[in-house]
Amino acid sequence: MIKVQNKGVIRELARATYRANGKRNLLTVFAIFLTTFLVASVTALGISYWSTLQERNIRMMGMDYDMELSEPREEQIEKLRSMKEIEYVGLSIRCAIVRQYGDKLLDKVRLHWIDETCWEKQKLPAVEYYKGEYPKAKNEIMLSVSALRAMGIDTPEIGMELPLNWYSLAEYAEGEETTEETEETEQEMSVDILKEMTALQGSNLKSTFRLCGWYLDYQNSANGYVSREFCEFTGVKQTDFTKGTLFLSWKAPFYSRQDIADVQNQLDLDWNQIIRADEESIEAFLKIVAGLTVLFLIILLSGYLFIYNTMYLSVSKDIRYYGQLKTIGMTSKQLKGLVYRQAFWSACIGIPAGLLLAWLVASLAFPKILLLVAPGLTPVIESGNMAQTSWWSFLLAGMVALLTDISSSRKPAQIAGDCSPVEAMRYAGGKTKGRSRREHSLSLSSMAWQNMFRDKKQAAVIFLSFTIAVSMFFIINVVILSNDAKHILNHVSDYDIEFLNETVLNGDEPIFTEEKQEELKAVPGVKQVRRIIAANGVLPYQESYEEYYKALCQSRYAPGNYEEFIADWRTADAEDYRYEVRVVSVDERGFELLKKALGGEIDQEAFERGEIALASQVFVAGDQSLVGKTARFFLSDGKQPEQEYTMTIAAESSIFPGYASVGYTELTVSEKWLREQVKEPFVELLRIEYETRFSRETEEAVKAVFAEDPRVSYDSTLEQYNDMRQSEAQVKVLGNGLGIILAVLAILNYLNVTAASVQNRNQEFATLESIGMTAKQIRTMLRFEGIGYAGISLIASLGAGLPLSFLIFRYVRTYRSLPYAIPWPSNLLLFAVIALLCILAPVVLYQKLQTGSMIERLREKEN
Amino acid sequence: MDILVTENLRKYYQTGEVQVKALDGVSLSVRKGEFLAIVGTSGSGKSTLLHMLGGLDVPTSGRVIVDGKDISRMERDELTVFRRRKIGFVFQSYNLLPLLNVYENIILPIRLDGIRPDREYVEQILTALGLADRREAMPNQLSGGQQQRVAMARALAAKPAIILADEPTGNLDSRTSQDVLGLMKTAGEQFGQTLVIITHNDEIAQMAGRIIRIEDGKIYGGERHDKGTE
Repeated sequence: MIKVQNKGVIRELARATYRANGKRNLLTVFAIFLTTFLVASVTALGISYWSTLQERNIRMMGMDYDMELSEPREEQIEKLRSMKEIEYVGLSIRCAIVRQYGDKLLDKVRLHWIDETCWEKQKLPAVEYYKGEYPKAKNEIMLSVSALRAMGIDTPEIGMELPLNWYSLAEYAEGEETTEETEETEQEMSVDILKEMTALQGSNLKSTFRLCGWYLDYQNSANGYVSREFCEFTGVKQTDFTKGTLFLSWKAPFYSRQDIADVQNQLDLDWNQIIRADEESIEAFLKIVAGLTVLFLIILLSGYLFIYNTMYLSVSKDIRYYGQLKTIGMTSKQLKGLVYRQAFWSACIGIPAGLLLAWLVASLAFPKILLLVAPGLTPVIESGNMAQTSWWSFLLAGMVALLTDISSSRKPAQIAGDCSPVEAMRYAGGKTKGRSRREHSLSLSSMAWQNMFRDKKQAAVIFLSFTIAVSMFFIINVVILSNDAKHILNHVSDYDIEFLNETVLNGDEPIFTEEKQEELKAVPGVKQVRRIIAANGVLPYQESYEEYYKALCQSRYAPGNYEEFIADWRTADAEDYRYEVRVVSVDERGFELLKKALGGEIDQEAFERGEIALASQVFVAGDQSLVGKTARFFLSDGKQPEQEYTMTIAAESSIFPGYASVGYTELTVSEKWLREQVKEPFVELLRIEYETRFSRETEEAVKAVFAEDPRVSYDSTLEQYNDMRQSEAQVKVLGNGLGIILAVLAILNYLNVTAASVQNRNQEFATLESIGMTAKQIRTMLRFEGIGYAGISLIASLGAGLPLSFLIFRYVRTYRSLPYAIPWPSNLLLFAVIALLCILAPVVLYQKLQTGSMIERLREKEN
Repeated sequence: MDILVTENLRKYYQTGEVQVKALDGVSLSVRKGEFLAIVGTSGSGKSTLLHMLGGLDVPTSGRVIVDGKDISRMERDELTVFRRRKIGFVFQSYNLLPLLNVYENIILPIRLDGIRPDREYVEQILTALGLADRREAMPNQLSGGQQQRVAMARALAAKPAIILADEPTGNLDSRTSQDVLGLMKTAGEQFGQTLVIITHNDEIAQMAGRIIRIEDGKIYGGERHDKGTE
């Protein structure tokens, strides 16, 4: 065959066709533009979102590490440093506790020394921001913003002098009870108190430190760092029980159980040394990769559907034209080329524009939006800590968008290429295939139903794009809610502010007097003032507690010889703190909350009569050996210290309503009962609930009550809320941005399909009207179609979105206790918007497109 | 009694700078039960006239009075309901609905009025038009002639007072044309229907009681003769 030089002609023809269909091509360009924008912004924002979440998780943990080893020996550290699979090995030693700043009593500020690796590679990534430098000199100290806040320092300055009362955590006696230093669980905090109390009997020193820096972390705990010299001065060693911790960071993003076991096997661990690691790291990593891949595919599919749809509709409208071209001699290949060429030109405009907008959104608008919604993030954004978008994500997005564009054009190109000239003349997109069928009901709703599925592909495009968008929106909303500070705090704390009597266990001064309580109650906006009254008691030897102590002796918190312990107990006197019991009480509201948290039936009347009590299982998690047994005890602080009380343990709970325990044994009783037994009820804690949660005005007024009293510290939910809001805002902006873009795509897709469908059916509507269907009936039929589209899409979205959001929620929730909740208001709003749009759009389009007399509309197709 | 009256009906179009007078002062009256044939050359204005009579098009001036009502002043939906009840229209291009089968296409106007169709009568029409075995077929499965017969069946099924047909036999062979027209006439006689058809076929025109000729938007002729149905 002779090669014919006709490329130029085809190019000219394609150009002429492209120009002639200017408006329609604009829609294709718009589709490509949106898809590119979506792919690029999702890639960019997704990376940013992911890094932000990761960063937040790290910040929540307080350190960026994978595994920790307690009380590491020097040779173990050397061994670990030489392992090729471990990237960083950071050492931390908790060496001292600060109890007082000037005359202000503090709720223990822990001081650590950490080595350079730990500071630079593990601590800094978990810090929101920091100022100054790590302490070098013995008298230098770096404190957390929380610690400074607790000291009443709002505007710290480098070099300022801090007179502090502190004590060393060095082991001063053989067989001393030891504690576990980790994060902020109630369990560990209580044990710490015990330890610190015993330490108090040791050295209590006063020194003036020089503030060399401060940092803000998400842990919101009062702690600080000191120099190596200071640490050595305290006498605490890295191998001291619970003081030294080695933090290990893996090179690989994940590790298996076997990896953990391999490391463990090489370390020759002492009996009390433990390795902590997330054994599900590999599963978690795979879950994340799978999740992101699914998200990306969903977005690509949405984009594909949109581009495909515009191209398909465009080619369908031009099919006669392509048929004519074929009759005059154009080959299928040339016709396909014609379509591809046009798709490519649209891509040449749409892709760069989409990339530009995505870049603008990611680099300019996004931080601005964040600043707007979370002014507290200013230091993070200004310090450049916010996740940045990289150029390769845009390149990738551009390539993906081009591939999507080309692959979306395949089918339309095929339609154009394969059309037979004669059929093309008769072509009417979306007609049902000729197959006889029985009579249907001719109600408007049944006609609407048939219309919805007249072009099954188009229907599938609409359903799919809506379902994807709504499911995504659903999932995103669940993720947003699970990061919502208010939502989290409503579940994890049942009070707005908690005041602690810092003299607790150290004099038990009566600070929270009746007058003070009344003063608090009188503050406008205060709903409830709950007090925790506590008293000390003694547990005489009793069989019912044997199993409990056995479990305790086997635990890490109080390791010891059970037989010796029991033998001692049998002969112990009433002053022996080891057998003391802390009896705390809850009022009616406190009981109600406890009962709710325990989820079981507890006889309130018997509780109030003092017949039953609740035991704490803080130190022996999972042990239920006390339930149903009786507890006998004396109340040392009671009116009759000699009287023995007997109560049945109704339940064991991991929630201990009080602040601290003197021993390992705690009992929760009713306030009414305890008040009757003690001479002067000692209130250790006050928990206040506001009429409106997180009310700033109420908080200020409430705080003012104890503002002048250095013996009172507080824990405010509002302050936690303010800290958490920063990360919440990031998640919100990113998540909502993604959700809105997907929803816009789906809506545009629907409008595009609906507009084409109404326009294609213009002649059909005229026919219907000519044989007696009123415009009102046509509008009703179109509304039914809209209801059908909305209904099916929304039901499918719920079907896909509910289980998916549940799965994703389980992974992303920050607090394990947080229950799965569906953010109905935002979802219902979206459902309503989609339903309204689906119902109104066809009617509005019908009215807009119905121009000209009926006969003109009837003739439309013939022309 | 006149069931159809037009008074000085005009329909002008502006095509560029040229004004086209599709109808130019047509005054016409058709009696109840009459069979009228409109003939004329292509582009003479006969289809425009038929559309005006059926309320499918709006006149530039003049009035169309159907069964005593001025349809040119009716609201859109009022006119649609009026047409559904009074007029059966057979389009030259059939205008069948592609999603409905033959039977559904035929009974749709009746169902739109919320009435149950007279099944027996519809069966009678289907049989007479040779569509009995095609009742479940979809329009795109039918030949042009069959589609034209379905369009006719649809116009007849609602037993309207007036049937307006634009080239109803255009796609039929002469034998079928005769049969179909025969059926229309019989139905007309049975239900007192008025029949107005446009045709190019002289034989068909001769079956009418009156023939009018349109040229350049004006009526010529219009003599009644015996074959018409009074």
